[in-house]
Amino acid sequence: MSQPILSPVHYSPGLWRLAAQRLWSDAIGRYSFLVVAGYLLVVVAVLFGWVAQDWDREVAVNYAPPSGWVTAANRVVVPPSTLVVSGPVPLYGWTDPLEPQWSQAQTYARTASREAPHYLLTLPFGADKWGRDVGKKLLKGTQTSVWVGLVSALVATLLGTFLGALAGYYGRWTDDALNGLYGVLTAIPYLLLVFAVAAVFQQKGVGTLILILGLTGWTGVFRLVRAEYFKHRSREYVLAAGALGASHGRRIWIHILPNVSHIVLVQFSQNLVGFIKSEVILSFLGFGVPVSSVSWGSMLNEAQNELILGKWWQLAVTAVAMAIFVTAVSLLTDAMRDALDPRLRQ
Amino acid sequence: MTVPLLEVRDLRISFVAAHDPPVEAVRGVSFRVPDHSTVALVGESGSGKSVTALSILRLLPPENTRIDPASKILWEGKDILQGNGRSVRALRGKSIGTIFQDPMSALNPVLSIGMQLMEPLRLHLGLSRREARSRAVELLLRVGIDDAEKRLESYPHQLSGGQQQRVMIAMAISTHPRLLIADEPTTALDVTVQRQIMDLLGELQQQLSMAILFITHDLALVGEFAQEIVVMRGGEVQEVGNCSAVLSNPHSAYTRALLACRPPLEDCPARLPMMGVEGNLIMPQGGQRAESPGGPPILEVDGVSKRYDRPGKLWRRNFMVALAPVSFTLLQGKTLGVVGESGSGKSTLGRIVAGILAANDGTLRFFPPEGKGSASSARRVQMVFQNPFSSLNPRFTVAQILTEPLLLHSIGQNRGERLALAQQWLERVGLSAQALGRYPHEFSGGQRQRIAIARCLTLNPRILICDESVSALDVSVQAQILNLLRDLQDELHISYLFISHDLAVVRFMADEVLVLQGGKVVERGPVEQIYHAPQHPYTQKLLQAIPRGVKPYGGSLV
Amino acid sequence: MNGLGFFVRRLGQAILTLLGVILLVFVLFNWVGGDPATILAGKMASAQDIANVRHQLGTDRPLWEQGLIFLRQVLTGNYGNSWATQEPVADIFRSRLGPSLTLLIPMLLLETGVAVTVALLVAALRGSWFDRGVRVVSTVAMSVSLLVYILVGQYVFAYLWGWFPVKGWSDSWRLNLTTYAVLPILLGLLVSIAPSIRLYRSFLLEEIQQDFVRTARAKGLSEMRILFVHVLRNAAIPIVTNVLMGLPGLLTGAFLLERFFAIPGIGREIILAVERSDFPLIKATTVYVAMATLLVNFVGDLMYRWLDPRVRLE
Repeated sequence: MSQPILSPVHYSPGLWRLAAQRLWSDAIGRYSFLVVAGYLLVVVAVLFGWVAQDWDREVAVNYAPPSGWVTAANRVVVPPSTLVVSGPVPLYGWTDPLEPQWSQAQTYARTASREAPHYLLTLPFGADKWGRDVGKKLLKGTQTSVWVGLVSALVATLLGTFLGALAGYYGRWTDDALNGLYGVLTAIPYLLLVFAVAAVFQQKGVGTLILILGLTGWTGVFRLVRAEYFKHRSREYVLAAGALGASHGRRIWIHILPNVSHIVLVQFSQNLVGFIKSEVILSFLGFGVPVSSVSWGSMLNEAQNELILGKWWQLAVTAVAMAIFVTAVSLLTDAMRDALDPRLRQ
Repeated sequence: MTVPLLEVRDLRISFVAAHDPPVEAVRGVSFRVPDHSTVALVGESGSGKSVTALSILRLLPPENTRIDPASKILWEGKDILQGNGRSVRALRGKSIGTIFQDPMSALNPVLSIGMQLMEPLRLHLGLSRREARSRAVELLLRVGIDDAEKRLESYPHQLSGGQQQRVMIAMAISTHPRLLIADEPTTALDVTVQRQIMDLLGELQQQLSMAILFITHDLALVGEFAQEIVVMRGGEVQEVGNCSAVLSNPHSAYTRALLACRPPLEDCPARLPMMGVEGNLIMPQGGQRAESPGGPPILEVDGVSKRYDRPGKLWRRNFMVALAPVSFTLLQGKTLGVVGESGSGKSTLGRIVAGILAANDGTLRFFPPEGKGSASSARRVQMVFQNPFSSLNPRFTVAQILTEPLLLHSIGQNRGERLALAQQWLERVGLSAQALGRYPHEFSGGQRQRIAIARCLTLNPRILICDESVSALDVSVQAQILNLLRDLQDELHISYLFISHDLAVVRFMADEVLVLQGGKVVERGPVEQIYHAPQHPYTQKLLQAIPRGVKPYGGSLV
Repeated sequence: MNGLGFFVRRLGQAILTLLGVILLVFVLFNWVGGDPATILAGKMASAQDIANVRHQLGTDRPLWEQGLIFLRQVLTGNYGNSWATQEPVADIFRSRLGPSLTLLIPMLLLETGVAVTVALLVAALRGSWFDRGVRVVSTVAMSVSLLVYILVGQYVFAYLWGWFPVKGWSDSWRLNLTTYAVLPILLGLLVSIAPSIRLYRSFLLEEIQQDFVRTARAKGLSEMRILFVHVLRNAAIPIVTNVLMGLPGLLTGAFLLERFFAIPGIGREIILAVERSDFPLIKATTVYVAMATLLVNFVGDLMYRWLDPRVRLE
């Protein structure tokens, strides 16, 4: 055959690029993407030690309120020892109604200037029981929780996709065996399974958390990916690839995988949200991150006791930070699903 | 002139999507349906015929369709589009009955036939439960369902496709409507069932003296059935008129081309006339197909059979025989046609020969035998599938699709060489090199089928299996693909195993024909013999069932 | 119809799965979990103390022997004594079941009722401001952690405003149901209702897009009849299955509610057990709950066959 002259070929944008464009053109998709990206930036910044390295330093008086939130109630918060030093001043049997506040304010000023000159009275987001900056704790806690969620969602998604692809594509005994494993894991309610595994692992830590969540959480991905492979394996394009001589491995990973990857992606972000919620519960109960670290869950745990004392700020900032992230991921997931929907592409 | 039963006047409908500009699907369509008459709305896919039909009962989803406010759909002179929801509902199912293309999905799967049948009776005629029930039994008997009493308790999935469509018809005529809208009512059915359903519709029309608006793509069916015809293309009406007049002497070039490019049953031209971009007719070169002796045998199929396990009661297993032992010989450069209805085992046979499916018994012998110097059987046999929308990987560019087989079989030294080969084949099937950079969704069905054929050709196959390869395509595109296949055969001396339910298409392609029924070969022979002197009663029945409402194509039409 | 064949096959599957669960629990607790004796013996334990504890727990025996013991425990329902309180595990389980069910059954009934009703409303009014409103509210509601609902709810409604007791439980189920369980049930509902509405809405909308709905419209039926008869009857299949499948999850899903409101149920017991490394209790609960799950799944399958004629009359 004579070699024809190859004319320059213009390549169309790929389907992923089109999906990304569609996502970006959707306002909700765009904004939720930006919010999620912001959180990821925080994770990276904390991981590399650019910010919040000193989150556990005591920088303020304990329970320092957020700036602009100074009421009579929170002026009372002073260590008892300093109260003794100042003491009430007798004024001819008559008590100044503002006396307690006045003396405490004086004490405050004294403690701030003499005994602990570097302690701050208020912080933008307040301080916790030990006088640590809730803002910095939040950054660190965000990093821990999101990081745990990301990595364990990655582990679970890879595992679920791999096993689901094999089970769905090969069927027969491969499917029976893997589906049996799936049946066993799903016979135990998810949180109970997580607790059981948490009880067994003696050492706490981020690594253990990721292991627990990743190893127990792949079942949802497995189920969906398996069903998709089951559908796709008898589609004509896969049969055609087989007739052209493509191996099973090539059909599974090169032909089918890109066609189900949108489902994998959506599952990943759903797992991300689910695992973060699980991490928060585990850490809250004390089965998650160790005491030396901080996550959204352990912050909520501290906030539990603070709330009774009326110190609401740690609870509020944690809850809001978490809600914003989870909402953004959920909206992004919905937007991605729309952008990637193969039905829209016909 | 009296007011017609239904009049559509300057109907304009567009689809709106969130991010895209609206697409006008129906552009100023007007026609009339007189009382007691049958009007056929004919066109290929995208002609807007179904959209038009659905808009009459306002059944289009309001979220994404816009009907132009100037459009009018007059029912006995009153505009349906202006009426409120209640007035439209009073028409639906009472004055206007509807049947749809796919009866399986059109019936509610979890409600009994009786319940679904009694709904319109109770709603529109105000019958009591008992009256409705006995009326439902009458209706089922009337549409030819035996054992009607028992069938009332059945669910849709327990009936065959033909029976389901009968139930749909019973439901549609239950209130003695004055108009029946039939939207491709037989497209999903086998040809013999189609014949029965169309006979039933004709009979009922006589008895109930109702008008029928019949939507279809099949001109031959229209010729047998309708009095008036409306030919549509791209959302516009091409031609309106008396059916036999239009079919025997079409005025519009489009109708002429549409009539001409359907393969004839009576004779066998070398190539089919084709439709140009403008809907014009392009006449082929060459007259009748020349007889030629076949080459040496290239494939011997000996006693190949296939059965499937069916989960049986408890531990006993039973089998479903998909294909009883089949033997045949395929000659080089010749075409073996395989004909049969659904469940005949024709696709099973094709997949076994293609090596996609393993046979339970029997052997396939390729000549020359596999070994040194000759290509592996995987390379020698390739397959063109039915659905060009699912047979190409949507995530691959055309370049990837075409170079993959070359890569897998180490043809070509490098990417550049492979791309050059791909481009060559692409041009051979009539596409430009620019197609290499695009994805399948950017092409039409016919173009995609060309890409699928090019993909097979990259491996220089000796045998090409075409499993319903043109069935999903419009008639005009069918003709192009069929001509292409014939060109390729003449040029490359490929053998075809051509599988189809469509007897006319097989007539055009095949040299020899195998007729399958229920997994068994009931008749085989040269194509002329099968079509002109069929021996087996089933073959005769199949041939009789083909609609023949169109005169054979002749030069007089041009 | 091969109802019996299905029954037997499904039962066999359930037994195999249960064996799998038993194996998993055994591998986790007797092999991976290894030896909690060092924890249980206390901080100042000598090697002898630890050996004693080990002997008591039976963790010094060969694995296969431990396996047989566990299998016998499962078969007899006698899991020995709790490591922490020395109470028989079976007794603990029995006494904790009542409070859990008092909390969970009303929660399940209310949740299903409310979620299906709202989902139907939303599906009927799809595209309207009401639909969009419910979607926005449920997306936001789903994003707030369960913990926050409980913390804030308990603080505001019980602690600050005193509408409900902060925590507690009594011996009378009537008093429990009318007093102690009310706030936990409401909070639990608040958490679980949003995802359910979203799910049921998607089930309903999936059916609304089917062709048979177009047929029903073409017959002249009202939108209400289409929704309640044609659509709901189809969507009922996944809804019922979903409710049933969620049942066992509820049994343990109320961990946090039980812990915060000091309800002596199974969930709270598990948290305590995990805190104290009380392996027999966790093992027993896991196996029991798995059994319940399998049973419910089995019933769910039967129900599914009963609801769906396509499967029933195969």
